Amino acid sequence: MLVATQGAQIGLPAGGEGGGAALAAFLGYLIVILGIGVFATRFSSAGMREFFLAGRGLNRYVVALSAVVSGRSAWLLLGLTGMAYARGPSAAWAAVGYIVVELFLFLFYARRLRRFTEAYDCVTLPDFFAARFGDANGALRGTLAVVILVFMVSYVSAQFVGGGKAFSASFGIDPALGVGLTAAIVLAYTALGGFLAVSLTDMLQAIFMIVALVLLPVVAIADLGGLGVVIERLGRLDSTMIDPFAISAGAAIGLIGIGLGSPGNPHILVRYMAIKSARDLRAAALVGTVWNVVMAWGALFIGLVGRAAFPDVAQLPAGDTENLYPTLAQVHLHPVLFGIVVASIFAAIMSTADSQLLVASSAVVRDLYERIVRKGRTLDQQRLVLYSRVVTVLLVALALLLGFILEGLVFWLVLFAWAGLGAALGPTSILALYWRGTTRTGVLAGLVTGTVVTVLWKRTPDLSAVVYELVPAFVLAGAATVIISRITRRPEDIDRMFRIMKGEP
Amino acid sequence: MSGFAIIMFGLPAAIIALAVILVLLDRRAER
Repeated sequence: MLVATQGAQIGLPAGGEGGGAALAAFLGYLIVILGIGVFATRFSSAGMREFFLAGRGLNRYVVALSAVVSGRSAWLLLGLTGMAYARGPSAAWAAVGYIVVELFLFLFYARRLRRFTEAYDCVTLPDFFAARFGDANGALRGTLAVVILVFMVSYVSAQFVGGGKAFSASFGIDPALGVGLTAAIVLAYTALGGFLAVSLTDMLQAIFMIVALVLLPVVAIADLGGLGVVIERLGRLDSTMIDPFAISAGAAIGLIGIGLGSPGNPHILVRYMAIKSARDLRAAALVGTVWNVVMAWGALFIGLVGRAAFPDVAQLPAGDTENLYPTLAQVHLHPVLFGIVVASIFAAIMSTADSQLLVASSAVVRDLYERIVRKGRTLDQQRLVLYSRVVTVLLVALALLLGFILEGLVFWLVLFAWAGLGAALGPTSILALYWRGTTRTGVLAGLVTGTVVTVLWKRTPDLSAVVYELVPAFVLAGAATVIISRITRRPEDIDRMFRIMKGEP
Repeated sequence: MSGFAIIMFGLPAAIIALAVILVLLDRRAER
């Protein structure tokens, strides 16, 4: 799933009518997102809560769209379309899991998290764990902050590399310059406008993505003579191309299991903490689910119509299925609309990179500096925001350095990031919100188990061939948390915590 | 109805219907 976040050789011709329109659409989009960054600067400068959580005052629709697009990255546009191209409608199982899981997160998990994190003034996910488990010595907070930092910076680095490749393919510039430009754009609005700017730009990016994902399959199917013609062509190619059940049980479970990553990826979860009211999550659930469904099925139809249009993968640039999305758009769309498709690729990359960058920055300033290094002292909030901006700049520099010098390491870490974070933080955070018996030691055991099983399973070919590593790692991490929690002592004021989570007086 | 139609049209509709039902049930539970 994460390979697509590395970006793809899109292979679009530079310049020309299409290139000019793409550039115009992209520049317009750029001006708007930078404008949002400037607009949000003053609000975000007030304090940590404002900079990292938009003052817990975000509109329900902004949260819905921001949570949905932050979690998807370029995987949806390039990876899922490519998967549907290669394996037909059975790729739908990759979308079902995360959409249903996120529906339940919005409706149930997020509400408890939102209530608890306001009552205990938590700004980050490690803040939540520290408050929930009375982490007096900072071991749990520190471990979480370091894990989040490592994975998030790697993710950001991979997004920048992907952005560089997209720049290179779309506008014919040097990929290294493209990486620098992607980083500079994301840095500008993230460091200035903080969480508010990131969330508002996410909303705009969500609109770009859904327009492109609806428009392209509709136009391409019409151009090919209708859905009946597309299905007939697919059926003639291979019967599995129209059979959604042409998939092994292990593969289907693995694809559905992708959804288990959502409750463990902090750049998604922190969105739930920023909504104005826990009651607003109901509307967010509905909007987020509809958006998720439309985007995913748009991507699936693009894959299918793409296979009907280009039956042989050699017809795609570099023979890579991840190049299908822009190639199909180039053939079937007017240059201006093609520009929207190009902008949607950047939108997908940036909407994920900005959220991950801010989470990494919060782990350094809020968790490691304010709550561990300067523990017990009252620090000036505006000064902390200044530090956060400086750290954001430094983390972008680090991500660039990793992307240029240690791309192999970044790729390795990103390969484990979605599953590793999902298995480590997913079951532990769910148990923290729903089971009173969960203890700090139990959570530490779950974190270690989830991470170790993810890496070992992935690195054992016989096991990874059976099922996606996230599924067993998630189950075993949950089991480890429960077993160790049973033999250790729970926090004393647990009843009060659960009353707060449930919204009881 | 073919498997293709079930998954490509029925499944997305079913997921949205599930969301609507859960939201309505949740609203009723709050009252």
